[in-house]
Amino acid sequence: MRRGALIVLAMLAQASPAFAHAFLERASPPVGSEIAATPPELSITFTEGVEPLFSTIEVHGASGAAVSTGTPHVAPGNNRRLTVELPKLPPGTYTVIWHVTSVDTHKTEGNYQFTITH
Amino acid sequence: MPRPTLLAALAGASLLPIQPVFAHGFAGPHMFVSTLIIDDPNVADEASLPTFSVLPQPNNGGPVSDLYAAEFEFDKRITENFGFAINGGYRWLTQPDTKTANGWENFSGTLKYKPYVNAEHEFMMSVGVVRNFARTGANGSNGGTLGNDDSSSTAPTFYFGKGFGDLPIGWARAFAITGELRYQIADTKLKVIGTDPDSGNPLFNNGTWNQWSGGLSLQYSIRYLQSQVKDFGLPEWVNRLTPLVEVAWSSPASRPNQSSTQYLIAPGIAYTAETYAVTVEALIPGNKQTGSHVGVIAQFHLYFDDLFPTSLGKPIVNWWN
Repeated sequence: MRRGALIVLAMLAQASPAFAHAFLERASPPVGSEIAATPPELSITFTEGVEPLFSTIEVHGASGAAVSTGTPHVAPGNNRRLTVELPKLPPGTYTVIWHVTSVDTHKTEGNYQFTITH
Repeated sequence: MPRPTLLAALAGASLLPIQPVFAHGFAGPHMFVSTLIIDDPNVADEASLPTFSVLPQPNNGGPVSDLYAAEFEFDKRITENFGFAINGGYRWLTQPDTKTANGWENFSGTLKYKPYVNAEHEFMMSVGVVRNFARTGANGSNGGTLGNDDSSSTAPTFYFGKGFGDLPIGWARAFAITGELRYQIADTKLKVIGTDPDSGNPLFNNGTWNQWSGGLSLQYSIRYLQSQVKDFGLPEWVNRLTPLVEVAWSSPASRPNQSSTQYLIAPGIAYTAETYAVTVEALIPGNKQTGSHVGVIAQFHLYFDDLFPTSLGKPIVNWWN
């Protein structure tokens, strides 16, 4: 019993700083938004830092076909914002599917839509 | 055997075995928040420390007794999808015209396995066994007054969670439902062993009765609405809120018994931060057998997988990896 308590104490002592699951905090284009024209890039800001090597952002058109985007990357000094480049897109509704791994290795995922009107 | 007390049920005792085992879990993008009067379907590394509650007891028109409780729970994963939970707590029962009764609740333990998660359809199910250990808390007449059983029991339990992300109506996709159904089997069945010569009332052994119980929670995730459906530009603290309502029920399944069907309705709100959650709910009796006045329950919940992701927050089998 005492040994077990010591193991737990040792593990707590080496615990890393608290992080958490990465939730979508803000996106550009915004979730559920209608925009006039294709922005040069799509970015998602998460509530926690993410690992770009283990994170993906996919963009699909209304037919389900994937839009060619660049490799996801984070801005220098801000690992909470994950970005991909966008080609010029025709008007329509697009679905963004993201999977990220936060810096403490928790995985989260989500999807949302935005619409280009012109 | 004392009159059933509803808060005993909240603590997982024999009457309304609503086990306050609280965890959060993802099924795809939908996160099920901690629930307070029913168990949730996830297996996790978490703790509820503490859960405070006060619930006026059924009074049959007389003075009202209030049952206060301070409880804890510790949840630990052994493997990724298999874990255990330990529950305990302390109770105070104020009684009109007599001394307040107080003492420890019986401890209970849960083994739970989550075999199936469907991320695409935001569905999760798990199965578990809850064991209530008699005579680990206050016993004798004091324990009986506080709702502790003299007989241990075992309850196979089914849990599920389902997000409404499949719906075509945008705002409705932020809803989710979780639930549980359990059958509690007493080690020693309640039996009539004679008749009180003075009152003529039946005398019982120290057993208890089998019973069905279960419950549902309906949750509305502002986080899901903002991140999956439409960003209304709400402040971040609002995005962390989840209004919810829980309904719990129990009904005796064997005779003789000293209980009746009970319902409890608990509307409230949860605030989920990075490493903790705070939830407050009203406790509204659903029938006279459950109570006649509104109570309240509040919980501070810790996510060990976020607080200690490289140690205590990992499954035990991964501690040495």
